[in-house]
Amino acid sequence: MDRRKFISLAAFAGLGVVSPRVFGGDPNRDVLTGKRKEPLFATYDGTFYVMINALGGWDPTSLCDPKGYKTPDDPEALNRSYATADILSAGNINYAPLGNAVDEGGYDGYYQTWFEKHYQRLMVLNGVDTATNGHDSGIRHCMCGRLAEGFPSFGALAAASAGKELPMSYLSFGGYDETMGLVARTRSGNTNALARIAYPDRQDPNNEESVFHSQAAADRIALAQSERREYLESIENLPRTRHMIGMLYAARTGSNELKKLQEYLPDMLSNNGNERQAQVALAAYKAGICASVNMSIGGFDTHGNHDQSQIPRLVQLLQMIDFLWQEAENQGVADKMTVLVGSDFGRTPRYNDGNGKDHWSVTSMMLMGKGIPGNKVIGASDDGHNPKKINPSTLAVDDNGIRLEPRHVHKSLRRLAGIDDNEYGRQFPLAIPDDEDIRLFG
Amino acid sequence: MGWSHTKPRARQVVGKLALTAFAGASMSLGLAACEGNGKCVSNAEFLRTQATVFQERCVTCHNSSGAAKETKFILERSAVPGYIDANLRTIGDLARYEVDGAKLLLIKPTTDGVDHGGGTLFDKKSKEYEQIVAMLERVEDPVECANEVNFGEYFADVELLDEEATLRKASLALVGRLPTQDEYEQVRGLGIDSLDPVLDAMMEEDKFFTRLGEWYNDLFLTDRYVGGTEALDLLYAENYPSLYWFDATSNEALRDKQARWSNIGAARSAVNLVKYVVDNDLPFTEVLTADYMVFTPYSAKSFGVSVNFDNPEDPNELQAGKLPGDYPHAGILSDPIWNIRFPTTDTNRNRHRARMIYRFFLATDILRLAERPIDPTNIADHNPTMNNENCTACHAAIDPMAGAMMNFDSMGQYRPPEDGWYPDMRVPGFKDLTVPFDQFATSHQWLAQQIADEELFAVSTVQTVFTGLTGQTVMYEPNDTNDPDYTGKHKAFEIQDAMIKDIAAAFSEENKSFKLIVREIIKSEFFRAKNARDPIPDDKAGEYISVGTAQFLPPEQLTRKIEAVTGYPWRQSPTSTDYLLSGNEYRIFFGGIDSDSITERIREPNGIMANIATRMSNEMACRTTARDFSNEPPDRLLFPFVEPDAQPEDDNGNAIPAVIDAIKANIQYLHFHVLGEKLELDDPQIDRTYALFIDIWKDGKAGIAAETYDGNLPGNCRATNDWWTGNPLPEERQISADPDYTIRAWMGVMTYLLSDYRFLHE
Repeated sequence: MDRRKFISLAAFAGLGVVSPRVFGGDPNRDVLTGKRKEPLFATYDGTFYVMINALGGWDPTSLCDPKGYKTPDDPEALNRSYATADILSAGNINYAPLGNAVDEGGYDGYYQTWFEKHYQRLMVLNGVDTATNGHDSGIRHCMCGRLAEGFPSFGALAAASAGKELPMSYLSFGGYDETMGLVARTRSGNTNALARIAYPDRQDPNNEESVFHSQAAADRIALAQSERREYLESIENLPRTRHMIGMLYAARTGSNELKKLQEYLPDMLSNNGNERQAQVALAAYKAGICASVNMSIGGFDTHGNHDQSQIPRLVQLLQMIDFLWQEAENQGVADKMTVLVGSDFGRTPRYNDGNGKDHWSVTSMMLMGKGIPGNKVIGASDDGHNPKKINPSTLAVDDNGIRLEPRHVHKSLRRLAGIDDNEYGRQFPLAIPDDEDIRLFG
Repeated sequence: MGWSHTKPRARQVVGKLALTAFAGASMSLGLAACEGNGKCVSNAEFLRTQATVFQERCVTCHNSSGAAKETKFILERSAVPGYIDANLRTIGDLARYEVDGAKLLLIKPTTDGVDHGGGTLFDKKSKEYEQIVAMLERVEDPVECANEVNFGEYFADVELLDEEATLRKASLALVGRLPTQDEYEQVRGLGIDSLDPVLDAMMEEDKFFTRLGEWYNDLFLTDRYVGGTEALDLLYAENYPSLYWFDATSNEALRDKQARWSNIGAARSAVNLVKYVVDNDLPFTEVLTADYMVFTPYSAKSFGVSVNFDNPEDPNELQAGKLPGDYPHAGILSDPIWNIRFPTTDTNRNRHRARMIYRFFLATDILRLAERPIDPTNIADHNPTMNNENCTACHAAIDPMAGAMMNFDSMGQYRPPEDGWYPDMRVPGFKDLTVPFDQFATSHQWLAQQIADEELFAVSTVQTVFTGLTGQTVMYEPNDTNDPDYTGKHKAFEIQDAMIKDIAAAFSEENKSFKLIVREIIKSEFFRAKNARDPIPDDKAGEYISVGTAQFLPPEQLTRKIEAVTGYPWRQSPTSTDYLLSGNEYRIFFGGIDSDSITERIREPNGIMANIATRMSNEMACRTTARDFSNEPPDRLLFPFVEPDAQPEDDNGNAIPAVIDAIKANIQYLHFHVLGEKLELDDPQIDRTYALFIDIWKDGKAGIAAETYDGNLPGNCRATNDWWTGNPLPEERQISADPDYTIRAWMGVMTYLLSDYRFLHE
């Protein structure tokens, strides 16, 4: 049975869909817990929250907070790969004039393609102070808004608030995905396993002919199982046993969620792991079983040969984001997606002896999509990539203002998602003084 | 000895009631003892349900760590198991105190001629005052009710598993295998206590210790660090310079194994201590008081500890040893990785660790001590954890213990604080005791001994085993008296609580024997409850909610059961990880934990779990059916009574009785082997399964004749090689063809049985 029909039939009585005999008494209350039964879950079609973790510490000065060289032999250059004079703009957003990897023969302008395509949905936050040079603490700070341990990621908070009972409420492909027990995290990049779960009757989930049993045999087994259920319900009298029998058969009744996921997955999953993350995530959302996802891409910890390593990685990141949006549009859900892109921290404003860049606590964050004012930059850094303060009210650079920190971003994100003051938000408060409660999204 | 409650309360009452009624000494007793509906109300129930002032008001300060902790009036909170009995004793003691003929318990809260540290709480016209008056009257003339909870009859209408069925269930739960015929014969018809020696023998097997490790990892969650060298990486190389001793090994494959085994030994040292204590039949309190740590041959090298091993190559051998530098061991409390798993910070100050210690070893969920809304706007005190009532409910209990764990830093290293413990916290200690100053450097050892001496340590151990064996958490005492099922649930709680306490008492009396707990729970009615003889009315359902296990098997147990029943594991290849145990496959999807961010099991199936179970039943039916038939009948695990080509009808459609009998005999065998059901041959369940076989066979045979079905088995379902070795089977044993569809009909039967409720649950 289609799960939607199942839910409908259950009339949101959840397990009441099973014969009331299974539970006894009020079919809307669970005999074991005495609590009102919740539906197994309702389809989720609210905002889809995507957290993209650029792991290792990206270099914003090579991306959205561009700082070039004055002359090619400038020993103080923050970047050797492009000139300040060549910095490009898309709308109000400045970006580095980069593209493909240096060793691939210069730059073909992918950045330009990307920013021109997305700037109207893009908000850039520059000069964000992460207050750390540690990888774990940095990505934690960026993705949960608190430097300290013990806080769930924004994705977990959003998933718990949107529907913790969803089968894949919080899907994670890595990055900071601490849940603090708020919601079950599904952490699997193994789409083959998902396919096998979705089609348990097929030896090869991608081949509908490869069934274990003929259709007649499968139908006959299902009939025997149904008769067996009736038999068990007729003889089992202990409440716990009856409850568990009901749970098993109710679960089977509503076990088509992953078929839906499979339905929304493209026939051919991409060979590119980054793109595959987006495909699975969007299919899960489209199937109504997922509310938020952690996507991740590593390789940004470029202590050596920074330009040759960092810039191609940034290109891959942009391609990943572009693919995500393309897929979202293909699936018709682009207008429901909110995306946060962040990293552990930034990289030092100078090159080390190995032509690399080390850890630097100042970074940038990028936000896109639903609820995010696009074509906008808030915050800034100076020529040494030190953070500039902003006015909490006007959000303009202001020496008498405050430093923009991840917690400010998350406060606005929480408010946007309606979780700032719900039970989960209150359980993990961001502790921001009133005079720093800035509203980044209006 | 099977568990049986001695119900002392029920014994004493009738005579006393009769005596007092005859003497006419207490008409008030009769009135007090019975409510208007004639129901007897014991002192315990009265205190719990009517004299609520003690739990709602008095205990706020009058607890072992509260503002009134220096007084003689110390109550236990309701989150503490056994609090009613303890509080009845305390109230009884205090009831004797009078000032000028007035009861102290009455004049204190009303400040009637005496001071009260908590000030005037209510007056003589208040309901609280009346409650205390009534309680004091009951102290004078205790009321116990003969049929308050009729333990003897509670299980009278519950069918219990017999010795054999109990043994099967216990064997699967403890060692993940079916009992041998010899083991069955040791218990058949000999009474439930006949299981003792068989269970004891099972508790010597390696698989039992695997299961034991799972029970305790569900608490300690130290498997979070078993990957790579994650555990070793968390230890300080300056303390343990040979952490990475294996780096000197030139053979890469061997080096990788050494690294993995060293790391696993370090990560699991706390769990291994539990195994070691149980394996050596030591008092279980040694998990806290041991002045040693437990090492494998590999982890010993990483920690730089010299220990003698029987087989220095065996990564599973456990031996005791001591960390270098006169390390003050206190069992698990001093285990570096355990302390890392429950870290602390400058602001947390070991409170998290203390909370876990209460939870693991004292059967107490600290957060339940303050289960009421807290208004943060009310917390404006200086140092609220010391002074604000919203906070002290928990902190009064947790902070002294946190102080007693002072010697372990945020990274689990033994490092006594140079400047002593925080002066703005309660002094290090436990309950109303403080750590002697000269023992500060070893305060965790002092704490370990305090906990080991607590009755609640025994209770917590029983609770852990109960959860491990049944998949259920123990019941908390219901406190919502407005719940229409309150009375029934409370009865269920009392019965379970009594069982736990009795076993805990036996544990304490028998040298803190962990194995005794396992045996007694297995023999208890809770584990053995099979069914109720008659339907339970809806309004009585609450009474029996904790009876019977009905456990949806977690990944680890189902994995073992699959192999025990079918003879084959559910995994891709002989050397790969089982599907249900692999984090990259189904472990998390099937409700398992990763000991990291997913730490709570899903114990009731959802749609994804149901699909996984369905896939398992299909894949294992495919893998095992033809393979089992490829063996000679005596060597078959699944089909000893029937041949693979046996058809129940001849080509003319005439029944072949001998074949039908054989098929039914095999179905009868399968119902017992796979599901544990003992059925007569004419049982409707046998008929249903037989009908399934027949229908699939007939459809298949017709399909082959019509050439719509293949005459061969699907590739993966053929028996052409030895699954374990990959070597081809002898030609005469190979099965690829299924010209009469009999094997696929049996595959259908196997799918049906392996997907059944009674296979997926225990």
